[in-house]
Amino acid sequence: MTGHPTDRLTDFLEGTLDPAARGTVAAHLAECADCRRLLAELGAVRQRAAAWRPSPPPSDPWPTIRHAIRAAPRQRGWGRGRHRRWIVAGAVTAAAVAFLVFGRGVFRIERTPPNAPATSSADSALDAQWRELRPHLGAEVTAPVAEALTLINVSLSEITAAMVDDPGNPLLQALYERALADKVTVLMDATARLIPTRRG
Amino acid sequence: MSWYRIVQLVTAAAVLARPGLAQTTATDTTFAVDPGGHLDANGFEYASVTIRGWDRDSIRIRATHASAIRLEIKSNRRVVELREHRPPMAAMERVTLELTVPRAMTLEVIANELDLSASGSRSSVAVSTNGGSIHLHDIDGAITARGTQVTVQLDSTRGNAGLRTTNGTITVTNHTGDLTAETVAGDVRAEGIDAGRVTLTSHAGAVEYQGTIKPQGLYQFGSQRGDLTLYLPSTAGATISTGSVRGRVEVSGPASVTVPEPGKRGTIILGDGSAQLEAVTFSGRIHIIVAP
Repeated sequence: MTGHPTDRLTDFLEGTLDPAARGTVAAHLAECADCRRLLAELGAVRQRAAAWRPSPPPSDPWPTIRHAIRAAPRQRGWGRGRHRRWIVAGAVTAAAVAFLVFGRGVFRIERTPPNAPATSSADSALDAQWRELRPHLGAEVTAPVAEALTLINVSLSEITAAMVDDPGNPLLQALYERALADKVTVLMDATARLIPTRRG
Repeated sequence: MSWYRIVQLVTAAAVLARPGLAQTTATDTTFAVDPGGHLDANGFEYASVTIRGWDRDSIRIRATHASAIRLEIKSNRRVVELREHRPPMAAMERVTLELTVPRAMTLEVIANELDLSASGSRSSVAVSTNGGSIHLHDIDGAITARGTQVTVQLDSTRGNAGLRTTNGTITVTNHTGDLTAETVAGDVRAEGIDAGRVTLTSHAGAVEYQGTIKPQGLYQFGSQRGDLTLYLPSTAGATISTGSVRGRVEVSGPASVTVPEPGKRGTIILGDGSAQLEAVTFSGRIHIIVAP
């Protein structure tokens, strides 16, 4: 095996690897203190996530938003569809709150090639949400939001890279969660602008 | 609409043969309202709005806009609604509103592009816009300001304030009340703050705070890439959880403290340590300055 098997540690933890892959990861763990620390941190995150769940969390926090987007056809002008806009905003808020409360439960580090920017499944879900949301927004919203998301993504990459080097660092964990929360907030605000697109 | 009594419906001048955008319509109307009522100015595409509070039970609305745009004013005394009706040919035209309202009237303004200035209100103010600027002065009430590419400025305000912009600077001066100010690509500067709960965060910008640290207060400052500068009073009693991954933590002042090593989170205790204060950044520098 070349490099650290950080993309497989979550599956190792969850016992979903096939026996051969599990044996390979276990052999690496026996020799690599960094990966053992990262595995321990992932286990701690899972435990914290379990403690945060009063009920089974949604595996994907965004279906409500998607449904709201599809239910609300693109409007022209701010004056129309105001109530629908608040319905959408309410759905987004509820989904985002669910994400912030429960979403960390699905936190998992994925790092395919050894030196590629690392991401989490929660982060990937947010990126997917942005791709879905973007066509529904006016240019005056997409430009600053895209700029903000780029900044946040760069930070997330830097933080996750640092987490691989120092997996047990609570400061990095706090910064990662904060950056992820920033991303949720940006998307929430962008989604709240869904209906009132500029007249074309 | 059915439950509203239409007080006035102001339309563009009846020069419709050539509704050129160069022609403007001016409105100046004053009517009685419930002084504790609500002003709802919503759905404006491009607007410059100036709001002032006065000690009368009436509202004065002065508006200037292209004649092609129709301004609708509805009121049932308790709620005053302002709406625009804008044809596509006037998509880029700006509506200018000067509103003088009872001080106790709650205010809500929502627009796509907005330059708003409000002062003299003694009630809550809520503003939301995609772009532009929000300046609130001498407000005594809860404040909510949201924007995408917006500069937010508060001065001489009292009440809980929640400010958020995606891409813009937030400046707060002489504010009393809990304060939350968040931006992604801009600086957050708060000076002369008297509050027990403060959250100031940016993602790429600097964060500065100068204000009180109250016993049992909660203070949170963060930036991923920017510097944090905190000016604390000499009497501050706080447990400070702080750390910078790539930058440094420095403490200036009479307190002799040990700062956390680079890349790690550490705790600094000032005075009785009763307030909780967090200051973290990834690549910025943290400078905590305690007054002598």
